[in-house]
Amino acid sequence: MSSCRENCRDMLLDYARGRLVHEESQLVENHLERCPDCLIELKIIRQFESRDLPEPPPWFFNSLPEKVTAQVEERRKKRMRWMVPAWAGGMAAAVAAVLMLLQPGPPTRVEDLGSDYSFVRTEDPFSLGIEEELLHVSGVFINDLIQTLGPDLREVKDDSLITMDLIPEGDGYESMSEETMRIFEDLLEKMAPERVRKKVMS
Amino acid sequence: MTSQTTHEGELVKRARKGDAKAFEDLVRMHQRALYRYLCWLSGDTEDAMELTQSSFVKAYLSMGRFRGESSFKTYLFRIASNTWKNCVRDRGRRQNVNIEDVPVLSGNNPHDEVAREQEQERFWKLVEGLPARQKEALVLRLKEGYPFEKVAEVMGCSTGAAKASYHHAVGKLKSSFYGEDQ
Repeated sequence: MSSCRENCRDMLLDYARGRLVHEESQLVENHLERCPDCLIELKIIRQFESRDLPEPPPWFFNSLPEKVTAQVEERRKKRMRWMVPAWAGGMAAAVAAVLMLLQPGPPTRVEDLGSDYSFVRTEDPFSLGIEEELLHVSGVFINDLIQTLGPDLREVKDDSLITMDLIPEGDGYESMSEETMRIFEDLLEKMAPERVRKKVMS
Repeated sequence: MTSQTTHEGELVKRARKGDAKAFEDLVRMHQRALYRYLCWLSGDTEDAMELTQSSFVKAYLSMGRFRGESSFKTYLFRIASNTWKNCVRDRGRRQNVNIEDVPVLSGNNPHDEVAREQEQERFWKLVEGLPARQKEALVLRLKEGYPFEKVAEVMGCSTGAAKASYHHAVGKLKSSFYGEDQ
């Protein structure tokens, strides 16, 4: 079996697609004669090769590019509308939680946060537009944030419309952009870390 | 670097600055490939259409973080994979197909057209019932023809983990469909 893996198995796809030179094809064919395991794998590969997928209706591809940009534009406009009253509330929650995680000692649980700070999953995950960027903050992974806050993320109680959509690590997003980092730094400066900590611990 | 890659690079630069027309061109370049990929993953045309649109929307909104370390297509596929997985997760387990529940067909005449169709249906049901990551690895490898390094890049894991997911998937199909011991 190990020789299958090393010598032949990785060549099966190229063999099925006719991408091997004659000598390599010969090698695979000789191997297939005495290896039922690889022969079955080749059958599986050929099942995939032979299947046709249904095409979408023609209008789909014709209209998709404009639809995508129009949808993004609409979300950005909505975000701008919400930015002023709600932004501070949502970001304060994020900053508070991050600061809390950066404190030494055992992680603070969600009930210790007090009613001002909590998160909900947003109905419109792009309402804030930066929520996906909260993956790494000073080395704190968003998964840790979720674990600390608990699965039952509560509603923000300050009438803020903004909510945060927490996206787990590994969901295609790497790290905070410089722009988001700047927003965080500005916020920290404006809010004063002492005040944030005091609120978190109250 | 090919002229197409250069052209794409220019479009990416412009799209990152908020040029909607440039992003629309990127959508035109990749929409068919992304749709096909999502159709393979979701197994449903309507779902694939919806997922394709939301993947592009997410990609555009996240353009600021695309640093060009991978190809734009890999970046798109990675977002699409995650969009699909989130959709599967949100729908819960109700729609999942359990491999154990797919009936084994036996005693059919292999020359019989109906029996062959049933066998085909059973095979694709088994594929549908694979765990998300295994299915993802299988599709990226067998339909996109990606080397394992690139499969891993899209999946956001090591090459070893991508290989393991692929081989687990193949192993399950071997044992469930062809009755071979793993």
